[in-house]
Amino acid sequence: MKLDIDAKAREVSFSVPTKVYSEDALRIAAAVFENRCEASAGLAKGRHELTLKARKALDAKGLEALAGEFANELLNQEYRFVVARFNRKVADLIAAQTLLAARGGENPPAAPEGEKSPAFQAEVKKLLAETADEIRRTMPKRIAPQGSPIPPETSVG
Amino acid sequence: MAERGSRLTSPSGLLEKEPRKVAPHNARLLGGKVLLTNDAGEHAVLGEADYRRFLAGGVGDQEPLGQELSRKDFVRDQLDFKRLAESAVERFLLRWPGPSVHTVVVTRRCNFKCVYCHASVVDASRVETDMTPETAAGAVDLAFDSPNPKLTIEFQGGEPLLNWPVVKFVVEYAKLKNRERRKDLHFGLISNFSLLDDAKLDWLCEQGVSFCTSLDGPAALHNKNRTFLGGNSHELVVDRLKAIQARRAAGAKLDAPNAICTVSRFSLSQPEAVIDQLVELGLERVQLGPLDPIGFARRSWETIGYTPAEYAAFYGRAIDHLIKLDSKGVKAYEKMALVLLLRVLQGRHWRFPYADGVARLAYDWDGSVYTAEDGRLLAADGDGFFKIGEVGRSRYEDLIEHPTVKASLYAASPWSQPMCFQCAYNPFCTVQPVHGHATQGSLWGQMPTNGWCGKMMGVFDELFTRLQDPEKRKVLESWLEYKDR
Repeated sequence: MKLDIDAKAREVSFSVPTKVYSEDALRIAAAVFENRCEASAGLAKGRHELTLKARKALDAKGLEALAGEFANELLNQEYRFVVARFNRKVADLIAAQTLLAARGGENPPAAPEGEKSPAFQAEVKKLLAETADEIRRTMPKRIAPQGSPIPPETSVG
Repeated sequence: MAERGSRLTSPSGLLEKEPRKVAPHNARLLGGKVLLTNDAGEHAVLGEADYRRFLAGGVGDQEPLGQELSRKDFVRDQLDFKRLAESAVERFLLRWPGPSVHTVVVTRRCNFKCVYCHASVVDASRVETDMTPETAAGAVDLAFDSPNPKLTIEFQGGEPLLNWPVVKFVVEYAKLKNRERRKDLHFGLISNFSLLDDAKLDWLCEQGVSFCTSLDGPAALHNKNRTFLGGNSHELVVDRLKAIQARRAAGAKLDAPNAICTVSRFSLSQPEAVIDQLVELGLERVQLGPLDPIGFARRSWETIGYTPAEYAAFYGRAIDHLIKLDSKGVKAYEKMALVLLLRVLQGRHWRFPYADGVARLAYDWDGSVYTAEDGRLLAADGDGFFKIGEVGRSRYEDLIEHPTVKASLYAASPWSQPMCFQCAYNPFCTVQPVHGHATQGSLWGQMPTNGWCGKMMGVFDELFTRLQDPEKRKVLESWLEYKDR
């Protein structure tokens, strides 16, 4: 892969064939490398012309490594598309079945009637009130740095 | 064909196969032999010469090797498609009852300063990061809406015992709801045990809550990893583990406590000492958790991190030590090995164990819902990508239908991952999308340079190498008996 490096501008440019790499792969690779560089692309003579502008200063060696890693990600994404197309039927079937089953089917059962009863609601209310009370009584407003509660009677500040 | 230590899994050699005899499979060179695996979840180990003979169609149907390969679905013209289809439906399509593990983060506060903390905790004084009872009730409501008949509510933090009233509330409220729902309900407390006094221990025992803590090895190692400003963390955790064991010995109906060893760089030279520490306490389950460069560990990775190969070497030594202890009558097993061996030897494979959102969910102290605990950890570090809803606002169905859940599911699929697709360990392995997102900037990751993949391949290499040794295999097979404990 031929690289044009401009260390002063923190830029490295190279091209890849459009027959091998799709625009989707370029976009995803650019998103993956978002924190490390700004990627821009153009088209010329059946090739994507790419320029990566590093977000932090890199020497020529660093820019060369950046281009290499970007190209690896490009290959990773493009190959992923190939594999996904190849296995799409089985992957879609499993994903659909998994999501539907995890959802509880098309019409998940409603909550049991018992949970809507006044008696149940009263028990929940009582439990919540008891817990709120316990928090008030036992939970310190301030904690010593090592985590041991400061006793309530201890006045701090 | 890929060699041991290699991350590449090129299927070269298949080009010369005899198409009538050779069914689709992946292969890996392992210690001078060839490991073959297939989508049926079967594996076989052949000498190189036999493998070449097999590829050329030269293995006779009547010879023992031919019969083994046929029985394991490696011979194309002898495949029983009806049986294979039934098995595939059972393994891939019928095992999805919905999320069963629900992690409830009752506080982000912690009183420890562990060198590798993944939980991105806050100081113990930050009481504003405690979950309220109302939020906890909403989290329990969502958990109960999962269609899964088995439900495990797992308390995490921070240190969950710092918000003790809400731990108690969740247990009591879930039990109240379960009078109507009648699920197989379990609770687990993941704690550093520093605040587990006898009164709390008694209450949790009465409620049937199981205990999980961290024990990284001997005192010097444990205390180096897990700093407790209020005292000696090793002494504390050992004391409480003994207290739990004593209650079990006295007849309390409790699961054995689980003590996870998180492997840091400081552990690498002493796997034997780590295991000795755990088995001395009567713990049969050893769990050697690898470190990931996520959360606080990412910032201190230069000091505490290691390469996948270093972890695999540590892991291999640990397994050898457990096997050696077995010969002395000391019974113990490693948890990840058990999970992987169940897949390899018994075909028990949850196809997407890291199917975050459809197999597990996590509820943060503020009511945010995440695909899983790992996703919640990233959010605590400023990356909310895996947030899929909010307690009180989202319905259970909204969580499952969230685009991140679907994307995670596809990313975890070995049929969608380029290197996994060709990997010999594909039928037994898992992909972890959160790891890819956190360390490589995309849900899909990039497997040839992915740290999780490197560790898993290393662990599989270590296990499959030992499965070739009849004596070691016997011990590893005996670990399968622990599967229902």
